[in-house]
Amino acid sequence: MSKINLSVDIAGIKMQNPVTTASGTFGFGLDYLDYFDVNQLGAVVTKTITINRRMGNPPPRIIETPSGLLNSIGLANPGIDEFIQSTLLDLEHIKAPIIVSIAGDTEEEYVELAERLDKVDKIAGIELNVSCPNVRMGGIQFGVCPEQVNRLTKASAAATQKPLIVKLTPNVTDIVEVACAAVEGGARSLSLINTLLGMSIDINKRKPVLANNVGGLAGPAIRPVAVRMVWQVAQAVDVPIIGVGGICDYRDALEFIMAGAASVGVGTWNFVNPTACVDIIEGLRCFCLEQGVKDINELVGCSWK
Amino acid sequence: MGQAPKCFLGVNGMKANVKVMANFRVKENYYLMELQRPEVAKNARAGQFIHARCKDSKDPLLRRPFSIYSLDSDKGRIKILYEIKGMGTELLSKYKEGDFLDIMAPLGNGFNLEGNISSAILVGGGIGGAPLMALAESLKGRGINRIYFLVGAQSKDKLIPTVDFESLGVNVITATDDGSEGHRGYITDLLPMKLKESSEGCTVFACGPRPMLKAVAQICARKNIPCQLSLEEIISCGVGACQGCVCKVKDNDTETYHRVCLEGPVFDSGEVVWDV
Ligand SMILES: Cc1cc2nc3c(=O)[nH]c(=O)nc-3n(C[C@H](O)[C@H](O)[C@H](O)COP(=O)(O)OP(=O)(O)OC[C@H]3O[C@@H](n4cnc5c(N)ncnc54)[C@H](O)[C@@H]3O)c2cc1C
Ligand SMILES: Cc1cc2nc3c(=O)[nH]c(=O)nc-3n(C[C@H](O)[C@H](O)[C@H](O)COP(=O)(O)O)c2cc1C
Repeated sequence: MSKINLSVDIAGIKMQNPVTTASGTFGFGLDYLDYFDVNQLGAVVTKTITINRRMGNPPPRIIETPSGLLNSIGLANPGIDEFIQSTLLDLEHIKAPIIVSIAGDTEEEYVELAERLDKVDKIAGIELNVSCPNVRMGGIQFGVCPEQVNRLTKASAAATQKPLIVKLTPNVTDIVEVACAAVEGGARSLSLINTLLGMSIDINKRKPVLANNVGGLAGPAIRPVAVRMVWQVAQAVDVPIIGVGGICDYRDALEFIMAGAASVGVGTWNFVNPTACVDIIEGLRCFCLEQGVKDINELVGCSWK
Repeated sequence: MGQAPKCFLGVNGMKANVKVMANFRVKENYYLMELQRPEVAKNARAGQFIHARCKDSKDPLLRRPFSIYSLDSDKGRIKILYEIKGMGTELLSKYKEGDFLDIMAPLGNGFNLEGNISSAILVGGGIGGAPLMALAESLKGRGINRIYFLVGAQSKDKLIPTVDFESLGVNVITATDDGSEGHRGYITDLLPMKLKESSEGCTVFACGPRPMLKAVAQICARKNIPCQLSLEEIISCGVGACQGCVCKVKDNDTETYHRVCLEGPVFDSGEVVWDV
């Protein structure tokens, strides 16, 4: 068993296996402590944090759809001050690498967050959540425009020495164009995909179900879209990819790996099976053993290489 | 450095496949399920809930939360009372004795029985009466014998079964919107009168539709009677990670959102903000 190598290197972050938690589905790594030892994870990716504390959107924030979950949490988070002063202390106990997801309303906010996190030793990497409205651009998401993604990545990369991961939104015409813009701007890794914009209407109330009207679709329903996007992007860039979207078991994780992801993120499925991440790690190990794969990295992108 | 989180102290086993000891229809759309789970039966509190995976499937996707209806620490069993609403509860009703159900439990905070409680008025609307049975059991266990259960529903067939409350010696008073059983009108119509009869140390506990809870909260606030409410929101993770199931509360004069699954489902009625 021990001969199989599951460890991967994501932009200098050494992970003992490819399995991470998708931002926003695992809190700050402390909510699942009753279920498994989080130190078994490849890395913990935190909920997105912003400069100021955010209450998030009014409820209802969640509705289930066929094999999917629509959410409009609205980036509820304690803000960077509380994160550094309080949350980080609890994270001291976690040995797995911690990647902190950040978002802002302006480029300056992203830069300030990157600068402040740069000084924190405990943090292994920073993930830019670019699925956030740019208040200066009339609320258009940073992530839908290649030029904005490029600028934002450049500015943030200049503010930190830490590995910078850019998390792409799928709500674009050409994901490859945005991916290349991020890499050109200095992204050392890409993570994809964030949620797909969706909506659900309550026919009895004749109103949208979510108080925010629209929300992001996640869960098994989006997996084929995510696999396709990883497959396209992996062939166009040469930075490691963290594949995210509807992963429930090791087979799903392998689809992403074979599409070209070096690492995977598990999101919604944590809610269904709180031990999903460790089950997937075990499943990957068994698969490699059965198929005579000595190093999981051999499988990365094998569907097109 | 903060206190060491629980995992490093070796706590585990919140998720388990537990044996179904019984699962049957009680009346109309109401079913009762009994589960063998000594760890939960021993340690859980009234007002806490289980998060059940009704089927090993992707559709339905999420687990479904159910309040603990009864706790039997001697036998190591817990019960839930559930109403068939949609796909998840329909699937749950198909479980047979001897099957195993995947649950996360116990979750949530539960009712607070710390204060000086001499008598209790429980107000339940529809299936909201379920956690109040476990509450009645634990009040009885603490020697609190004056318990009233004010239970309401749209009509007679939608009233939850009350025999278990009656066997425990709880005074049951019913109301239906259409008058098919008990008082015609809302159950909250009867609350002011019951409060008038009650004395020092009376506490009100309620669970049910939001408009009912709001009415209960307002009546108790006027009379300055302590009141705890169990709230409902769609729960996905059940452990506080996703921030999906929030309700608005007042926290030292500022408004904020608390998670029904973690800080709740039970809230002090004074905390809850009713604008949403
Ligand atoms: C803390 C808490 C305790 C509860 N205790 C009980 C109980 O003891 N007995 C009981 O019968 N019901 C209880 N419920 C409600 C129960 O969870 C829902 O009726 C059930 O999830 C419906 O699932 P379904 O698939 O049958 O219906 P669906 O067709 O999925 O939905 C029917 C309705 O149920 C509600 N609902 C759906 N999914 C959820 C979810 N994940 N969380 C909460 N509500 C949801 C929605 O309002 C929806 O309109 C409780 C809910 C909460 C939040
Ligand atoms: C409840 C919820 C909250 C989320 N919050 C964030 C967030 O704060 N930042 C972020 O980059 N992505 C967030 N996401 C998106 C996930 O990280 C992930 O990209 C997406 O859910 C797809 O993966 P999944 O299908 O495995 O859930 C959130 C998703 C969900 C379901």
